[in-house]
Amino acid sequence: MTFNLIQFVLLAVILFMALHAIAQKVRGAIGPVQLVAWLAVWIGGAVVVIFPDFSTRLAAKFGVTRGADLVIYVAIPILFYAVFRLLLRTERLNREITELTRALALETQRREEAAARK
Amino acid sequence: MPPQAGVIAVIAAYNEALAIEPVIRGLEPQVAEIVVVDDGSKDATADVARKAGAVVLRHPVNRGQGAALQSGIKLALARGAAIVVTFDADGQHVAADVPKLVAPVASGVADVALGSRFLGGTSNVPAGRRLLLQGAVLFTRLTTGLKLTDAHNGFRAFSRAAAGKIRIRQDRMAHASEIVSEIRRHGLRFVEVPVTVLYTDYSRAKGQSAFGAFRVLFDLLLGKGVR
Repeated sequence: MTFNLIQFVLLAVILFMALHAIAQKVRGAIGPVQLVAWLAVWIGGAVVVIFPDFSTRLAAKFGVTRGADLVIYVAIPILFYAVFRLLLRTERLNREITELTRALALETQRREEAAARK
Repeated sequence: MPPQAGVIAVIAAYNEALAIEPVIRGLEPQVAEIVVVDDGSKDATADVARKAGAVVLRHPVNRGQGAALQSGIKLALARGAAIVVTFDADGQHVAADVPKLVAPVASGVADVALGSRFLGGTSNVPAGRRLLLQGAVLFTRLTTGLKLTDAHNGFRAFSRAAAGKIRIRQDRMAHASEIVSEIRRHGLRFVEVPVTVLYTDYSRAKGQSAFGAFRVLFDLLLGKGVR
């Protein structure tokens, strides 16, 4: 089986990502379930890269000519959804920060006024 | 009872050390108390306001005009305000208009009085601003069904009950649209009152851009998703 350059590049990236995920688990930044999920993604990606026929045959089942196209058609909605969830989470965080800022500001004002009255 | 008894003004200020003192001085005769919310300014806004006699609330970090107003309203209510008047920090609003906004709320005719620069007060609105503001009016009509002539005016008066009901969750400029939809949501009675808005080089430099308008739309949409 002959490999072309893009396969090497992608496999290198996937290997790096998989190792990074493992390192994150070791450091305790992510849990075991998350690690398994991400490794499944990277292993799946590796399979598609090493066996390009696999994705081509799968794509043909869906009426899509190229395997790479199928991968993109699946990835894009997933990415949009992920970004949407991130935006919501960011907005929620922003609101919590504002609530904290407000509470802090009001408490400080209360204390300053009490101190000034003495 | 003096006409301004129970009226507390709330001013949200960000880096307004140059403009805030004359604004406070102008408001003094019209209201019982002035609350200035320093929204994480990098300059001496808080000190200037304090020296001028205002009650100062200081956000340690900048959160946006909507957030600052909500904080100020909360404090004003805690200090026993019967009527809360929101007023801009940059000198665009005229203190002499305060009684015009307070009157319908004090008499019980309305729960909220909204200042409008298009009801006959201002004449020198820059063309670009006018277009943007008319766009805001149209947007407000479409999204809330409320027919306003000026949907983005920071000069407002709320009864104590009304101020307690509205919740401003939009931190940044979308809060103006949120206030209108809150008025609708709570079925508050409102009137529009003609006010003068002064456009100076200073305030013009700080005005909203077209990009800002898109940001507002985006924030409002996002706000619908978050609960």
